[in-house]
Amino acid sequence: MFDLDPGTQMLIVFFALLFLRVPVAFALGLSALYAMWMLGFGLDLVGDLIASGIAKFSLLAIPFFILAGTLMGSLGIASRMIAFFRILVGRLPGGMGLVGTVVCLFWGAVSGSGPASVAAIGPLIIKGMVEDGYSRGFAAGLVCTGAGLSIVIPPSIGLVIYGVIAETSIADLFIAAIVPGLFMGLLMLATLPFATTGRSLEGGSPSLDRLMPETDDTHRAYGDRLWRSFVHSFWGLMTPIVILGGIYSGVFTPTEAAVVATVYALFVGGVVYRTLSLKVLYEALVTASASSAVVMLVVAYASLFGWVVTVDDLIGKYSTVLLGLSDQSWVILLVIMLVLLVAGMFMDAITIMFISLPIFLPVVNELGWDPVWFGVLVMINLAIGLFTPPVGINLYVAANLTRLPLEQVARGALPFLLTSLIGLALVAMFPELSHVLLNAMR
Amino acid sequence: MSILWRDLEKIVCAVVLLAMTALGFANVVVRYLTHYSLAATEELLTNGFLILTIFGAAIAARKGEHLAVTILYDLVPSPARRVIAVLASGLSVLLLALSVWFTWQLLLNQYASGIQSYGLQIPAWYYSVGLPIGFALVIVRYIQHTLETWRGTGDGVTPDV
Repeated sequence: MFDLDPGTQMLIVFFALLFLRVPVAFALGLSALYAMWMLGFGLDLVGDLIASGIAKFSLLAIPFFILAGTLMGSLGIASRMIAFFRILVGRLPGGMGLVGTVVCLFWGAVSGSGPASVAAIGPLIIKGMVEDGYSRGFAAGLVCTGAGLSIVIPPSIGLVIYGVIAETSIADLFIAAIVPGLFMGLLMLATLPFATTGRSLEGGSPSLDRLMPETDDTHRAYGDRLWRSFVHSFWGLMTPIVILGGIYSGVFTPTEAAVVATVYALFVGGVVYRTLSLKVLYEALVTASASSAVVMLVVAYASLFGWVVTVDDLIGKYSTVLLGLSDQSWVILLVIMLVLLVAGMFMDAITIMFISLPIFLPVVNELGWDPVWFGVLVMINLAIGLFTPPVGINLYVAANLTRLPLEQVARGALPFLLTSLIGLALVAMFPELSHVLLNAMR
Repeated sequence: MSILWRDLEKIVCAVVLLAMTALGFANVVVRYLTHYSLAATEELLTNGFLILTIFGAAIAARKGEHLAVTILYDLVPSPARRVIAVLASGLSVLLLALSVWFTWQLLLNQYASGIQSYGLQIPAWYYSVGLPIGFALVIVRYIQHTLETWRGTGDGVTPDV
C-alpha cells in the first residue's frame, strides 16, 4: 500500500473506514488527515479549511430551506396541501396513489431534501394509500421515489452543493431542473396503472372522504368542494410560487429565497393559521439545525478531502483515464452515469458529489458539455440512488416509518426505478428539456 | 444548570438560527427597498452558520443521526460487531478530538496575529471561539449516545445511508 500515492491511499482509507461503519463525515475527515500526514503538509491549514468550507454565503440556502420545510410540516401547511390534492385528483383512477405522487412532486417544490420529504409527507400519504387498498410496501415505495425527486425539483440542497462545487449559477440550476423534474414525475404517474394492476385503480373510494375532516362536505358539487379546499390551503399552495417565482423573475437569489420562504412559513403559521406557538417554533429550529448540521458536517470534512484531491493532482490523473476510455462522448457519459448510479446505492448524494465531481467536471469542460445540464443529470442519478437498494436512504426512512422490512419497501419502489432509468436516459438525450425554461427567461 | 447541561446545544442553535432568519430577512428587505446590501450581514450570517453547524452536529450526535454505512456491519456475526462498533467509535472520537485541536490552533493564530474580520473589522477570533467548544460538545454527545446504544441492545442504532 505504501508505494501508492497519498491521494489513492486516501481513497482506500476512506472506503475502509466507511465499511467499518464510521459515520461518512468522520471517514472523510480521517482519510483526508491521513493523506495530509503522508504528504507532510496541510495540517496547519485544517482549522481554516473546516471553517471556510462551511462559512459560504451560497450554502446558507441549506439551513433556511430545511427550516422552511420543517415549519411547513409542523405548522399544518403540508396537511392542508394534501387535502387539496385529494379533492383535486382523488376521484380519478388510481385514487390515493395518484394523490400521493402529485403531492410528492408539489412538496419537492417546497423541500430540498429527499429523506426530509419522506418524513414530512410520507406518513399521511402512506396511511391514505393503505386505506384505499394499496399494499403498504407499494405505498412506501411510491413515497420513496416521489420524495427522491425533491432533490431534482427546485429548491434542492443537492443543486446548491453542485453549484458551489462546479462554480455554476445556482439560480440557473434551479430553473433548468424544473422541467426535467416534472417530466420524471409524469413518468411516475404513467407507471402507476402498470404497477398496480388489478388493485384499487377505480378511484373515488369512500376512504378518501373519511380520512380528511376537510371533506365532510361530500354532498356538495366537485367544483364547490375544490374551491373551498383551495381557499383553505391557499397560502401553502402559494409557497412554490413565492420561492420559484422570486428566483425565476430575478427578485431573489436562491439564498434569499430560502430566507423569504422561512419567514413566509412563519407568517402563514403565525398570522393566518395561528398554529405557531413558542414550543412548535423551538422544536422546528432545533430539528432543522440538526438536519442542516448532518449535511454540513459532511461538507466541512469533505472540503479537507477536496483540498487533498487538488493538491495531489488526483483529478488530472483520473479525468485523463476517463477521457481515454472512448472517442465517443456518449460512452463517457454512460460510464459517468453508471458510476453515479452504483455510488448512489451505497453513499449519500452530497458525499458522492464531493468525491466524484472534481474528477468529472474537467471531463465535462474538456468535452464542451453544458455544466448546468450535467448538474441536472447528476441530480437525477443521485435521486435514483436515494431509493435504490441496498442503502437508499429514503428506503430506510420509509422502512422506519412503516415498520416494514427494507426489502418490501424496495420491492414497492422497483417499478418506479425502471421508469426513472428511462427518464434519466431521455433527459440525457434531450438537453432541450433542461434548457427550455432558461432560454425562455433570457 | 442541569437544563443548560442537557440542552445547551439546542438553545444555542435555536437562538442562532432565529437570529440568522431575522438578519437574513432584514437584509432582503433593505436590499429590495434601497438597492444597498448591509455589508456586515454576510459576515454575521456565514459565521452564525459555522456555529449552527458545529452545535447542530452535537444535537445530531446525541440522537445518532450522523449517517453511516452499515452494509458490512449487518453481515458479520455479533461478536465481530462489538469489535467494529468499538473501533468505529474510537476513530470517530479521534477525529473529533483532532478537530478540537485544529480549531483551537486556528483560534490561537487569529488571536496572536490580531487579524480582523472583513466586514465589521472586529477581531476574527471572536467568531472562532465557539468552534473548539462546539467540537468538544460533539465528543461528549457522541460518547453519550454510544454508551446508551452499547448498554441498550448491544446493537447500535446508527442510522444508515
